[in-house]
Amino acid sequence: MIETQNLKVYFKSRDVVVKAVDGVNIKIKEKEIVGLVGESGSGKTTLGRTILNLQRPTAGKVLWNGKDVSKLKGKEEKEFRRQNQIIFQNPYEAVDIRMKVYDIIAEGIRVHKLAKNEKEEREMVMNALREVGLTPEEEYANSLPNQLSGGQLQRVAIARALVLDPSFIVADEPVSMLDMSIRAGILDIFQKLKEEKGKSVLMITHDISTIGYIASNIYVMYQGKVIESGPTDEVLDHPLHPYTKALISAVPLPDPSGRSTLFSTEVREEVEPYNGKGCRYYPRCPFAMNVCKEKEPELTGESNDHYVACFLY
Amino acid sequence: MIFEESTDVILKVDSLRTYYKTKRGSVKAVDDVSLFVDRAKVLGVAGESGCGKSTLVSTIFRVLPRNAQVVSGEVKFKGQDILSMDLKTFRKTIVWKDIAYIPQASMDVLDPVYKVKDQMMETIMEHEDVSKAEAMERIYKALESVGVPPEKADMFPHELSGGQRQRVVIAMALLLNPSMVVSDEATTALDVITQAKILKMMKDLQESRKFSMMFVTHDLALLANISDSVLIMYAGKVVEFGDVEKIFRNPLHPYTRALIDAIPDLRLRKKKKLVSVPGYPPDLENPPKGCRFAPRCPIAMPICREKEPELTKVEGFHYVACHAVSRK
Ligand SMILES: Nc1ncnc2c1ncn2[C@@H]1O[C@H](COP(=O)(O)OP(=O)(O)OP(=O)(O)O)[C@@H](O)[C@H]1O
Ligand SMILES: Nc1ncnc2c1ncn2[C@@H]1O[C@H](COP(=O)(O)OP(=O)(O)OP(=O)(O)O)[C@@H](O)[C@H]1O
Ligand code: SF4
Ligand SMILES: [Mg+2]
Ligand SMILES: [Mg+2]
Repeated sequence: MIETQNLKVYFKSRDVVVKAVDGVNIKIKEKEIVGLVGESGSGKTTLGRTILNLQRPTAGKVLWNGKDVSKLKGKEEKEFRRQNQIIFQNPYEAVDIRMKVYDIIAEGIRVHKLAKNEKEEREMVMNALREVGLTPEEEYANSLPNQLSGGQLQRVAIARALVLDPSFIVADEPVSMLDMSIRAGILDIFQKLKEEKGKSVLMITHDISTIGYIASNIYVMYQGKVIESGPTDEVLDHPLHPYTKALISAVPLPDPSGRSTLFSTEVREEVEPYNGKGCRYYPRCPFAMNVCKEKEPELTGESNDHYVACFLY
Repeated sequence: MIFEESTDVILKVDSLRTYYKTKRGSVKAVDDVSLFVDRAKVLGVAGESGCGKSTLVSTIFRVLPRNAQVVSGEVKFKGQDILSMDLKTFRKTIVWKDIAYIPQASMDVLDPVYKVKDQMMETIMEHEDVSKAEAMERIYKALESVGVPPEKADMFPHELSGGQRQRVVIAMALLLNPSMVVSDEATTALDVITQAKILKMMKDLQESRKFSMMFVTHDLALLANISDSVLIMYAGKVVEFGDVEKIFRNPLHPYTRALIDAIPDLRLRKKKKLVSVPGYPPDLENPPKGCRFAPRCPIAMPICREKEPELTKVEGFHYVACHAVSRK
């Protein structure tokens, strides 16, 4: 239902050009949770925002059920806005701190005229609060954002998106401030949305250990490019790209006797600056060959939908 | 509370209570919390969302909102009572310089209208008498140490990614060579490799400069790897506190056990389900009588609903507040 075609988003900031997203093709089907992981600064948020037409692409396009999202107008655009929601990465910046939690959540209901009357609106808001575990909901509804903890605010942001009953959600690090006991509950909500209501989710996260539980496909980004993608089990059990391998091996284990290993994983420093033409990972790659410095590897299929951009394969 | 295990204390919090006034009463966000951090050691703090971790941190740095009140208790840093110190002196001589702060909301530190390097410059200039060139050099070094590309120094906070912003704040916290850093979810937006790199850098500082850390995070697996001691909070209270090995090998409080059981395991994901702790955390305006965890506790006994369990020493550096444990 959502697809990007050779999507590029460049930022020009003073005299530097940042290629935040550089030729990305991804696909999210109906009833599917897709995980997007990658280095901090690799372009995940930018990609998510561009998919929802909150950021103009420099080149390429985003298709929503076959239609170019940047060309939607009038009623269709409005429908797109309701059916596709984003949960922003930083809840502190995502909400208006002068508004009560109730109004933050009700705002979208009002914009899209989803409630028949005030009573129905109230019910929708209260249900949404309960669903994300903010009880007693009456009390949270009356709070101001600065009276909430980070994780509580993050759940307000989730409730605000869910209340509109979207068919597709970009969830940008939606559970980063939640402890595991609550995180599991929230991930369950996404799981149910998919299974019972047929919704789709693009879940941006740094938490590979939980994405493994809920995503059916995973894309791994590194410096604006997708460097590996495939079914979750394939990517997590048989990672191909050296960056993906490093990412998986660097996940800390809950064992204090491994206290030294967290730091001994392949946290390699760049040995030389990127030369502008080779594979973007070669300065840090322990397996870099001569060809890696000469040209950029393309994303190619290895086996059953498992793609990798690396000359080792 | 006196902890005999503390040998070279740098930060000590004693019976601290911080409440928020609301229309209906008061939220007991930090309710009788005691802890210590020794020099060159790392204290990890974890607990459910909303249990009072940030309130604890804000109390130490005296950045509480207006409706908050320190009801009782004290905080000593290097032996000085920092809560009763003159606020100006505290800000000028202690915060950033001696004990730095990485808040949960990076925008509390980063002003959107200033470029990254200008904010960092200001932090240095306010506290130290150095030349601009020298300061600039330090800024670039600090950014490099957290893996933020040098060209980002010229950008505004909104032009950075979430994780880059967090890293700028981490770099700022280390700018003035403090002897202690308190970090509140500072690495939530970082991939594990970037995170490991930054933690390694901090660990090195810890060894070379006898630097201490208090690290608040939801990531228990991470805490297992970086902490010397661990403090688990639940609903404004300390429920377990002790040596990292003891907490992970022999968690005693049912809440700690639930948290540890809930850690997902990449290798076991096909066998192990993600588990949550059933029920909700209590309303901190009307906390339940007795143990605050009792309504959710799988082994609660009648006494748990009557009497509040006290934080008691079990064996060695290991304290727990649970009737089921003190029974044994
Ligand atoms: N408005 C902007 N102007 C200039 N550069 C920008 C802007 N927004 C993002 N960038 C740059 O684009 C790159 C990608 O940013 P993005 O926020 O998409 O990363 P990310 O993968 O979400 O990272 P994180 O995991 O840290 O949130 C970064 O280098 C960032 O500095
Ligand atoms: N200004 C305020 N007025 C009233 N209540 C508040 C205020 N600030 C925080 N609270 C409440 O105090 C409790 C503790 O909040 P705190 O921010 O310390 O939690 P936390 O442990 O840091 O949680 P998280 O992990 O979600 O960040 C929460 O239940 C919160 O709703
Ligand atoms: S004191 Fe009782 S209720 Fe509280 S955690 Fe222990 S057993 Fe459970
Ligand atoms: Mg991001
Ligand atoms: Mg907090």
